[in-house]
Parts: sequence; C-alpha cells; structure tokens
Amino acid sequence: MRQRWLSKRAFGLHLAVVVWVPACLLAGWWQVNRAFDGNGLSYLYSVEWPIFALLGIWGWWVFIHTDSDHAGAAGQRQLKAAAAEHESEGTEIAPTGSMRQPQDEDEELADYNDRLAALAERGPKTWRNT
Amino acid sequence: MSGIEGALLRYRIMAYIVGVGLLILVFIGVPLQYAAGVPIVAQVVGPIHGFLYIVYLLAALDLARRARFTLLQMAAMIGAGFIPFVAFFIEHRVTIRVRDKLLADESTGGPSGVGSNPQGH
Repeated sequence: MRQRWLSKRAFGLHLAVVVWVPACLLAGWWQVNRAFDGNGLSYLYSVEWPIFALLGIWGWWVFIHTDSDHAGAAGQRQLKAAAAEHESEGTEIAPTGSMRQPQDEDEELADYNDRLAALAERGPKTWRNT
Repeated sequence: MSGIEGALLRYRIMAYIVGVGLLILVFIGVPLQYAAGVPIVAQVVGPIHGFLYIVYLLAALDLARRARFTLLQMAAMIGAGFIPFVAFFIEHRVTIRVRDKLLADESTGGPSGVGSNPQGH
C-alpha cells in the first residue's frame, strides 16, 4: 500500500494530476466566461475542458493501481535485472541451442531468430536506452 | 499479451486523426479566421478536434497501461496532441517501442505480460 501511493512513480502521478486538473478547470472556466460574452464556440469548449480534467483523474487512479512491480521505469529496470539473473543461471531463454533446428530454417527465419535472441539479451527497453 | 496489438492499432489510428486535425486547425482554420475573416473552418474543426483528442487520450492511456510505459513516455504521448507534426513523430517511436517489446516478450516467454511475475511474489 505504501509502495502504491508513495513510490517515486506515484509522486510523479500525483504531481501530474495536481497540475493537470486545475489547469483544465481554469481553461474551462475561461471558456465559460467567453461563452457568456457571446462566443458560441466556447459553449462546446467549456464542455470539453472538464472532460479533460475528469480524464486526468481517471488516468491517475488507473496508473496508481497498475501493478507497481512491473509498471514504469522502475518496473522495467526490475524486469531487466530479473532477466539478467535468469540468464546468469545458465538457462537458455532465447530460441537458440537445442530448441533451434538449423536444418529446418530458411534464411529469413534464421534472421528472425537471431533478432529475437538479441532482443532477449538486451531485456525490456525504454526510449532512454535505445 | 492481453490485447497490446489492438491497443496499439487504436492508438495509431487516433494519433493520425488527431495529428491531421491539428494541422488543419493550425495551418488552415486559424489563418482563415484571423487573416481572411472566415471563421467557419476553425468553428467546425475546433470542437471536433477537441472531442477526438479525448478519444485519443483514452487510446493512449489504454496503450500505456497495457504496455507499461514510463511516465515520461506517457507525457510525450499526451503532449503530442498540442504541437503540430509531433503526433506523427511520437506515434512512430511508440510503435517501434511497443513492437520491440512484443518481440522481446515473445522470445522470453512473456515475463512482462499481465499476471506473470519474474520475482515470484
């Protein structure tokens, strides 16, 4: 429970929702005023902004309740570490070794398997380490 | 993989729609309204783009949840709807990233799939 609401990721989410929701409500209020000043288009916009605010709250709630072992940057680091540990135990994860049957492979399939093996070695990726 | 491919497709469709909508609004609608005094394009495209952006946000959040994006990646997806041309660029990177992730999960038996846990707790 502590981990869910007080992790680094959770604080990022709290910060995002604390900025997002008032910003949307302010923009919505501005559009309400413009609508009452006679700008017809603003009636539509003053409906849209509160929906954006609600969407922010919904997203915040959903992501807080996403399994924190896997979610976000920390989760991806954990997965990577677990994969590395798995590999160091000598277990073959990638479709190499005995699972691989070279006589059945054409060139394309061999390339594909090599790519899978390379991806498995690198582990889960984020934009940061590409 | 609990529907990541479907979520990716929905996100990509919405990214293209919203990306094109923003271009129409910024480069046709707004100049017509303020330079030529013809507000009709902005009046029609503006609210439609707003509601489509809501759908885009839903698709983006859904994909981010399923593919377990980091907060920065999510922020990039959300921000892509505000700056012309950026939606296409971000869409491209998101697609590459999700496809790589799907390939990686396939080859390792899907450790980051929903419901599995490499730590065993």
